[in-house]
Amino acid sequence: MKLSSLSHLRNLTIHTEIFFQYGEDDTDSDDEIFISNFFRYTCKILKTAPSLEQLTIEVFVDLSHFGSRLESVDLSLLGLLIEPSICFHHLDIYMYTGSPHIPVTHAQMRSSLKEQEGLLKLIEQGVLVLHPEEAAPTMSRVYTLRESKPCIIM
Amino acid sequence: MEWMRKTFIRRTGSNPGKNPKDDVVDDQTVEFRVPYDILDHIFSFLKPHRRDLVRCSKAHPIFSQIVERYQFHHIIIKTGFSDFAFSLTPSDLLKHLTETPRIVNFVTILQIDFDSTSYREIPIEHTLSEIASLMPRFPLLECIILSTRASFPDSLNDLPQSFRKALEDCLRLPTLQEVHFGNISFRLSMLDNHANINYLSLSRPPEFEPEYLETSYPQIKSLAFEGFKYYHRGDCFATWAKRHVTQLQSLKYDLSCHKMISYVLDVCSDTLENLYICITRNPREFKLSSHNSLC
Repeated sequence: MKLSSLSHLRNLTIHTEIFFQYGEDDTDSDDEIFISNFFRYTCKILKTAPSLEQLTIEVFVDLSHFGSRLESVDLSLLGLLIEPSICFHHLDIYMYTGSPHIPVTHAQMRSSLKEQEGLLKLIEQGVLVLHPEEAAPTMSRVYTLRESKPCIIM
Repeated sequence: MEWMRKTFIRRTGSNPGKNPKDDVVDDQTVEFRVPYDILDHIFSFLKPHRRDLVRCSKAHPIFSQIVERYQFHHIIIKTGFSDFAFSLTPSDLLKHLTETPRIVNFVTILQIDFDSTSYREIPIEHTLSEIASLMPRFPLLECIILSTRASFPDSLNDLPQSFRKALEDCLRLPTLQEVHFGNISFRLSMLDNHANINYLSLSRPPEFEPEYLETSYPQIKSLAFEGFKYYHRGDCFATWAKRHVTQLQSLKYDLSCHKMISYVLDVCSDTLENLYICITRNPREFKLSSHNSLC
């Protein structure tokens, strides 16, 4: 997929959903592969995009699986986005569980960045803004209801 | 809400001997000093959070009146089983409308959630006729959503005539801007001559009618494709869209459409400003897609 033909593209939002799939030995390797693939794929898309005014990454974390832990979400691979070939003026990251009992907090989001220096510097500069337990703005001006998503059984 | 509750108690003066909650819920003599407009503005932020709005409405009669228009701005009518927590049967909705007729003016989003799982076992014609009789009551609709949990077995054209007529009347409302079709087949000509509809979202390609193939839709500024299946002829639709949706500014798609992505992007290469990509509802699907793309 190449975005280079979209010369007027200004705003790009990429949404993903993290599900926890545990193998028989209770490892979370599938999840790690998934999030790793997501960021690499996103990076590959972004390298083909023109200079963006706004890049938005939205992550829904599904905690419906027994034993799912918000703390195990690793967003440090966002560091891949800080490459000279990827141009954006502003980056917003939205992460939410949709669960009133286990909401994402700012501290958790920051912790999930794993002290990536480049990302922390972007936060200080105001280029990167974290939005805990918020959904990104949608294309729709009127349809904004957020319902709990039905559990997907793997 | 906790902040609001504290502010409310502080401003109205709580009795130290009483449970603070009692001050809020059952004291009809409290002096209410927070201006209505301020509270209204605060509650407006809860619009997407139905559960919180319901809690607020139960906290105090005054809150109940204020949140009413946010609580009912999006109504979901179900035809049977529904995943949506706050969906109503037609008779429940009728009861609400009878008890509080003013809420018809608050409804801007009307969603009909089709229970495709029970469609074959329990006919929904009667339910749809009931829904059809309720639809004309909402004069200020901005958005119509026909949602399905799974693939709906029939075309919209096979549903009761009264329902189709009511839907077509709703599409003619001057306030209507957005139409979201779930996995339900419909004829594209339904959108003809509705210059106000600027956002169309689809979970399967619409039906083409030869006599309407030349119709263009410059009014559609936003298009969303989600949940297409491998057997849907998405490439045909994208080719059609490239010719006839000429002013697209926003596009949303998920990787279920990855086979037609190049067609999709061609649709709007000259005009597109906003792109929304969903990766993905199913990790297995993403892995396949990403591995293919990364190779």
